Amino acid sequence: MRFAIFLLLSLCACAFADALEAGAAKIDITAPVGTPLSGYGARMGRNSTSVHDPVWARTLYLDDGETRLFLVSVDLIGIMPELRARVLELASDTVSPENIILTATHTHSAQGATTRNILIRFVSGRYIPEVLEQTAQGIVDSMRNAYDKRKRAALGYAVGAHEGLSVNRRYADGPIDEQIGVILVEDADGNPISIVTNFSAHPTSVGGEDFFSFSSDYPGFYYLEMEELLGPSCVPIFLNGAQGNQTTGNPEQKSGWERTESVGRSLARLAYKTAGYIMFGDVTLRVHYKEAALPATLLDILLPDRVFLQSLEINDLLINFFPGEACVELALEARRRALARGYEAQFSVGLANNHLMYFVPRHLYSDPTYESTSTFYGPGIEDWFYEQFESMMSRPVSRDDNKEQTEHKQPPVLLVHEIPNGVVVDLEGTPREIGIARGGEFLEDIQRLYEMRVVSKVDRGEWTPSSGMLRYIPSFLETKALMLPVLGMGSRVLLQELSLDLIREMEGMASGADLPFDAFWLLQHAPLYDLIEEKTALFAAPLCTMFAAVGERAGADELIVGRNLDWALPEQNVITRTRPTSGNAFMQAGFPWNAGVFTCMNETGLTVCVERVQTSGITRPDKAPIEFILRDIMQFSDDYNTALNRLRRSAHISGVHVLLAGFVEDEPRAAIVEFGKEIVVREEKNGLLLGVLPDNTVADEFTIGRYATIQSFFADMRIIGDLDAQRVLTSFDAASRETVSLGDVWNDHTRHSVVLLPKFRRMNLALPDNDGNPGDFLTIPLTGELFHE
Amino acid sequence: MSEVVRNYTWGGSLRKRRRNLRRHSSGVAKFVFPLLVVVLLLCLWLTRDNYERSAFVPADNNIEFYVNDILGCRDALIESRVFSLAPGWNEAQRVYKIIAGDLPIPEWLLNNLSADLCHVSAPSFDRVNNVVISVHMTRIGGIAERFIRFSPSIETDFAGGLRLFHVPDANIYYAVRGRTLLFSPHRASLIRALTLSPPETLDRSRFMESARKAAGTDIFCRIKSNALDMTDSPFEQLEIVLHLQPATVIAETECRLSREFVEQYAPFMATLSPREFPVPFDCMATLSADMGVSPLELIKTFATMFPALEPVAGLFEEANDDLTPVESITDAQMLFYNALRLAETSMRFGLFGVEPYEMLPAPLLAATFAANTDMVLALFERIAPVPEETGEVDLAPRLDDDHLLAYVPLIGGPSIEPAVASYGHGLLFSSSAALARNLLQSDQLNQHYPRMGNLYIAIRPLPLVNACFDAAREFAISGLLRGHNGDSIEETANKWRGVVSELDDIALFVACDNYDVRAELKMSMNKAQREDSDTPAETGEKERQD
Repeated sequence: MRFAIFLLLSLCACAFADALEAGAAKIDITAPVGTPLSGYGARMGRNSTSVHDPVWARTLYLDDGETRLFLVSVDLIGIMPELRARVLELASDTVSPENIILTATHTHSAQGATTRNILIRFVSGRYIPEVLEQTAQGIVDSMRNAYDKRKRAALGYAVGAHEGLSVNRRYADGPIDEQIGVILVEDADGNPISIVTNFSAHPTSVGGEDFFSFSSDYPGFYYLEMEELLGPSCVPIFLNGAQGNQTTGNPEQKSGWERTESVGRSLARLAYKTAGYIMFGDVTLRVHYKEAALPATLLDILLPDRVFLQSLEINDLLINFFPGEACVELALEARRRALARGYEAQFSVGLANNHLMYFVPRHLYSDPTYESTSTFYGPGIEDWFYEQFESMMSRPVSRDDNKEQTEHKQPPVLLVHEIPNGVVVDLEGTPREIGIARGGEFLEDIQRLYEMRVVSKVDRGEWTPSSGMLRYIPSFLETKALMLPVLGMGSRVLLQELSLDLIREMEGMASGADLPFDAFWLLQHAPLYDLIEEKTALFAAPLCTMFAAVGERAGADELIVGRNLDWALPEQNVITRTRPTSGNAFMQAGFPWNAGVFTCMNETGLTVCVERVQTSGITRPDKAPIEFILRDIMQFSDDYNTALNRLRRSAHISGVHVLLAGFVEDEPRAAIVEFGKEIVVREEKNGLLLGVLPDNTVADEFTIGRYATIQSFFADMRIIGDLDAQRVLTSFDAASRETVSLGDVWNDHTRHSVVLLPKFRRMNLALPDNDGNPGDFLTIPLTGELFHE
Repeated sequence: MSEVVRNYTWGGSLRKRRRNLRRHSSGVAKFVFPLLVVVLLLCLWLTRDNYERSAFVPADNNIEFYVNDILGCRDALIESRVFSLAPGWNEAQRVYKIIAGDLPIPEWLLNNLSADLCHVSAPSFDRVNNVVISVHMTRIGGIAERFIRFSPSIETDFAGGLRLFHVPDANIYYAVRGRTLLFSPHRASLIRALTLSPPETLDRSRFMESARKAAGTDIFCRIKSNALDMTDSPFEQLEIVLHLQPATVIAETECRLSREFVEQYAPFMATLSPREFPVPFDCMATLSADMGVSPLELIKTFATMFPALEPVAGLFEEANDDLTPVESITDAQMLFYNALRLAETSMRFGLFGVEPYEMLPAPLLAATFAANTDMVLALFERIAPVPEETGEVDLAPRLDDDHLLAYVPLIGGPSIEPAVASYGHGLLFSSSAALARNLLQSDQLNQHYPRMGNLYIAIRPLPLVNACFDAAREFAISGLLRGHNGDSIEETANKWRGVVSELDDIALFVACDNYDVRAELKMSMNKAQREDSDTPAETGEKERQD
């Protein structure tokens, strides 16, 4: 294997640091055979059957005269809260608890049985308090032995690179962390006390007949090889990195245990070679730590709302400790930021002090992969970690960064105008700021609707799947505690193909409304999910009307879009005028909670409306639903053709029609995009475009009746004015108000009537009054004051 | 002179009295003695016992209680602490307060007002207000009542010459006939009791027989089917004798099942007679039975009574249809259904505990059934070799080395490893192979209960409650138990422990003979608790006396 050193650091003077003391020790913590192993759910908690190689607790003690610390690496799947708590209880006060860094190598072949939470037992097997006690005692013994063996020491570090020892386990061309970080500690005679190697890959190479055998996996062979290279008195330590989506490669094309051995020994040899470049100098240790509040999570029965975070600085080496399984993208970005601050090297170490499952970058949050479905703190968790780790860096922020941040920190604009039966909200700022402002403004509404439309339905079993394990959950169990996270996981795929800006804005809305992102995202789909569960009664009423008058038929307005949004659920009407920092400003008529758009126009005059035509037999789309695609179109599409092409690519949508209107080189254009078995684009005929043609075979009789009314209303009008559009949108048979007549355009479910005038970038809006009748039309420009025409 | 002095110094007063007596004896005797004789005769006449108690009991009253020595029963009830088993039941607590509270009248008087048998009768459970209570007074009690009736708190109710008395504060009507005191909260019921014609009254011999059954401090109760507001009452008549002892309460029940009930729900009981049945498991909850039908038939029968069991019965039907005699057994369902098909009528079940730390908190259950051992072993021989790929939930049966036990790894540890084994003359099922292996080593598997009967159920409430809460706690601390967290489940557990800690065990023995069912329910109170609580109870008693 070609070996490359791409960075060599720590070239300080050879003199031993005056104050540095170090000691290292290892203790075999292999639990008795029969103890269940942790790591693979497929083991189903059955007993272990043999020991292939022991599992260890290995500790390096360091003291620079001012800072003492224990750096502990344990061959376990993770450091579970019970284990950390017990270790801290048993540990002597030689080192303060904040300076005890507990990490796990993440071997999938070491004892489980140390966690009491029932959900974790499905992976780690039954809870055996004695195993927890013995494991904690073993770790503490290794700490005590390391301390007892302390002596004058020197320390240096370096980073090397590997080729092919690890690969991205999800995408062949996905990113990997090629860095191998090494810390070497020697005594006054130059004898190695310990060598610490940081490398990122899942220790999941053991299987087959040894599926139920104890093993430390490839780190075990790393230990053996390193002890052969540096002598038995050296305690090799392995720190796994951001291994979330990294696994071992197979550069020597071996199989079975030979592959495991090949990776472990190759890693040791690479680390040994890298260590050969290390020079020693004065050492300053700094441990930074904090107890940080985590973003909200739906899986709150398992995961905490606060976590203990640590960073270690050894001179200009920064080590960030992730309390779980970070994907490599987070490590690479954390390193970029650290190096930008002036650190010479950065290591990311995973599985430290806790196990909060996976952390994936925002762009992978919607991936239907194991890592992405096993992350529970929302798509913004990567930013949260960067922020936390940056706040624990002792090196100051560079001037450029500071300036950038200062410029960035302009307060968002949030203006609220009360209008009869509704509000108009003006928003301006970054996507997240806009989201936070909107979520905060409607916090109570959003929380109430989430409880009503999502939580209570799950609790009552209305969304319980008709197949699979979840349907067997007995009623004495807290159904929603299990179902909501699972629903949240399954719904992330609906974020696919959405812009990161929109996702950031929704993160902001969730945060502003004090909800987990997944909860907020479920609220977006509550109406859709109701339909999927065959509860079509909620939407049995006629749903929406839309039409456009185009060209000469629209007279001087050139383009008129008429639109009623019919929506069975009671809602507060909210018109938002959003001015994001990137893309187009736009305004939409909707509700407090909806992050997608149903009726919207942007600053280029591009206008969209959506209408559901099919109300039964609906299945969940594979990717983002239509209202979110439209939301991205509004922000990022400047012209009609781009928007139309974007819609043509959305083959996963079905059962809805979209009205798209805009201008192509000042020429007014409009089309209905019908998403059925295939996508059909229908353009205006005689200057009039109806959302649904009266001969449509999928639409219900109410829809057909409504459009027939509009068609006959406009039949004899050579020119359609905005007042005509208003009149037809608000027409209904007052005599039969109690029951919707086939021809009624305005009905009990109408939430807003809008006539959009793209040429003038304004909408005329009527909202239902207290009796459900249409109120007066109000003109709302994209920017500026509202007025009655 | 000296005689005078002598007399004065050693007993003058005595002599004076004697002298006085002598001086007045003739006049007083002439007046007082006849008066006393007259008063005595009057008292004897007034308190003559000239009424049959049974004459006041309507023959159509479907509920009857006979309580001998009511104060003795009261003390026995208090001492047995039966009421402490129902701390949350307000009605029970109200009754307990009435019974254990201070007596409304002095104890000596109460003893005289209710000297021996107290009889309580009511038409049905939905008309308990129509209850009529009769007690037998001593002559002193009878005389005392004559004075009490003049108390201002008692009103006379002429009632057409029946001469009732009304105690408005207690809302009770009473009447006295000879030395029989009758009272009721319901005036009409009391009037009816006083005006029964002979054919309407309870047969005297039957009354005496029932009184005999309530001897000592026992309570005898007879309930006829009409007492229940049910279309198809399960029984024609039910008799219960309650024996109250300091550490034990025994309820002996005899009942005759109604023909309709048996025909509709449990036809097998029509020909059932007492049988030899297995000795119950020594565990926290056990059931041992021989009802003359196999478990499959029993499940079908119960499915007609409890529709929730229909799917279970359906599963067995399905298994019956699916399996051909030569087919290999490849999964757990085939193994257990087909093993159960070999089960005969003698059966027992036991809950040995709960393993709260298993992958899922798991009950440790076992059951045995009489079965033909050869057929069981033949069944085991049909178990297919374990396939190479078994799936995550491993349902492939394995045979133990000695081939007497087959088990299924399923999921998790040794407490979730269902097993079926062959022993002596039967089949052993268990939710845990480890438990099954232990039981196979014990002698009790082949033993029989010393009495002939059909059903025996025993429960040790405290271990059972502890086991249930051990399991519930695991769900609660994992946030999975509806309405509870770790703290609240502990609170609830403590309440339950407080209730059941009074009881050591409850055992029910049932023997059926055609339509007649004889049952014995025995509740053994916790001796340690009893000794602990003796002191405060005694102290309380002493305080009351003081």
